[in-house]
Amino acid sequence: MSGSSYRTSGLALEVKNLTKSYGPFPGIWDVNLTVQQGTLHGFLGPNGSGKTTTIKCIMGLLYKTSGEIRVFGEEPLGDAVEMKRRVGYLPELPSFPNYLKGREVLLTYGRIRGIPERRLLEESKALLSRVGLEDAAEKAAGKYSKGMQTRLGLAVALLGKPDLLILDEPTEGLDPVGVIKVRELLKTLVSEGRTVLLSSHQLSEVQQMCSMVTVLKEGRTVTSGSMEELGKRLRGGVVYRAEFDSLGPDLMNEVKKIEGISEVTSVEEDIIAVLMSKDYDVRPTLARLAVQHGSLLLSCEREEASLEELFLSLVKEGK
Amino acid sequence: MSRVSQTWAVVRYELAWDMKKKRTYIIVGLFLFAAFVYGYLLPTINGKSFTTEPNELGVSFSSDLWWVLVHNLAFNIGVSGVFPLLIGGFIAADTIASEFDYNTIVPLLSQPVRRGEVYAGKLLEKVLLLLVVSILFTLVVIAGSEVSVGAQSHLEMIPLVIFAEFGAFLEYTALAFLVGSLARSGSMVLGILMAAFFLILVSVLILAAYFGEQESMFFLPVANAAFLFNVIPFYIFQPWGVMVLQGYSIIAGPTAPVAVTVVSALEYVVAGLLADLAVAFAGGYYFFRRAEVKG
Repeated sequence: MSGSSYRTSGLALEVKNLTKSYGPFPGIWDVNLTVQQGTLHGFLGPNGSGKTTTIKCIMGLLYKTSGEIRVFGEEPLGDAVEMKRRVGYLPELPSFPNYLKGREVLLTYGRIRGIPERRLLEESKALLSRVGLEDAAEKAAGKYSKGMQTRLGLAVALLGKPDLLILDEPTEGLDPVGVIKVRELLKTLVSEGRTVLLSSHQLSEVQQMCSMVTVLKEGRTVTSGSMEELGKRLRGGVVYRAEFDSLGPDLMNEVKKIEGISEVTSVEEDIIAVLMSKDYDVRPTLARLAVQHGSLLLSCEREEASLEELFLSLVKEGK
Repeated sequence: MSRVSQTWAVVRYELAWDMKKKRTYIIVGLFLFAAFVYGYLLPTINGKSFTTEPNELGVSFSSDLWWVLVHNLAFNIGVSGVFPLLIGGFIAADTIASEFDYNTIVPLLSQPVRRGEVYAGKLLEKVLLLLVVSILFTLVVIAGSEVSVGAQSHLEMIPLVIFAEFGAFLEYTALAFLVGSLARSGSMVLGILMAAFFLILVSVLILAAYFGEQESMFFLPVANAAFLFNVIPFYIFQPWGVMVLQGYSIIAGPTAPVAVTVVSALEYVVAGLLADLAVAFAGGYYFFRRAEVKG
């Protein structure tokens, strides 16, 4: 597809079959990610699922083994200078030269971005205020707390008003007030017409913020679509909380083998939570298995599964 | 934005970092103090000074093995050679490696800048910084010698002396860029530079002991920087246009000292230095270009 057709299709970012391996060790395989312009797209997955590897490949910090990356319809070539002019990136737990003050950090990176000096002075001041660091502007970045470093990183990512923001765990290390402020800022940025790719391992955050989501698990794309579609896909899951007279490993193993079960987790001694992918009454089967293993099913309550539980089962099973 | 202004922005980034570091001032301060002591004591120890002709101070040569190895080679390479190692190595060790050590390479390479411009900007900043240090060093050494033995002569040769110091510092900067891009660890860079220094020192001493002092030794990496730092100014002021290589060797026994022209010795030193700089900077760029940011 040519650059112009991508522009008309309104894609900010498209990643196709992206694979990155480290020698014989695989990192990510065939990752697919499509981000529409003007959306806040969640990039969800547990720690170690390959989100940061994917992002680093997009930013040219890691070299892809195979696959295709297009940003605003263009394939980043060489050092991807033109692409990076339109992209702001916040790495997970960003680091800046310790000796530079917060204000100097913005001025330094702004100059490298090629922002004219006068505009840069105004922009850096406005950005420090936007991320709530105006009072710490003259403090050395090395003395910033983890949360302040993240906010400074967000300000750096916003330098030059990029069209696409790639944010890797932007609320990591922030206090609750900081989290709320960052979320408000991201919503404002999207309302201004920017596109945001928000990488997170927290479902609640993505659910609250994003209209679209791509879920990654063990280096592979598990699902991608709107939050609504993800909800529909997961809907119908139920959890049975079962208490046994005694729960040995044999009985536990048998329970795990029941058809339609997504996950079995221990809640307390002799109490388990059984997550079903579909609404199937598992109670008679549990009672029968208990008797077969010399135990008794004392109680078993049926509950609607929370989205969090269903997401966990999704990334665990890779459905 | 042009490549030149992009590279200049990286120079400013690097300079801002260096100027904020206490370490820079401590290294340069200690170095200048040592330069003064060096300039003060050198003429009184072996008659060598940057601006005093050695024959005026009565330099004596000997075919004694101890003199060749300890007084001549070990001092010229081992003691004087430590200066460029400390200044060039310590100042440049952080330049590439620490960007990876502290992950500051991530925000830097995420900006719309080519890796070549980052590398060139960092190199240019080090060139400017070391040029200033070389000028200061030469002036402080001359001041030390003035205090020690009185007014110095041949001051018109100062630019050549500065060039010699600068070349010696740049040798270690180039090695720091190469090792930094390859190992990506600041402490490893210093360790490898020191190991290279001692390895070459020991190699030169062994070669000199067995085969006699050879002008081809000046071609060896690291050794050429040490010779350049210490001996070139001495050669410049050799009034007879030759330098003397000690003839003693374990194989041949004591022989008459060999006179080689200063120009010939300089050719070996400069050729060795240029080869080192080309290989180290090009190799450093190759590895920097391919470096992945995994952490």
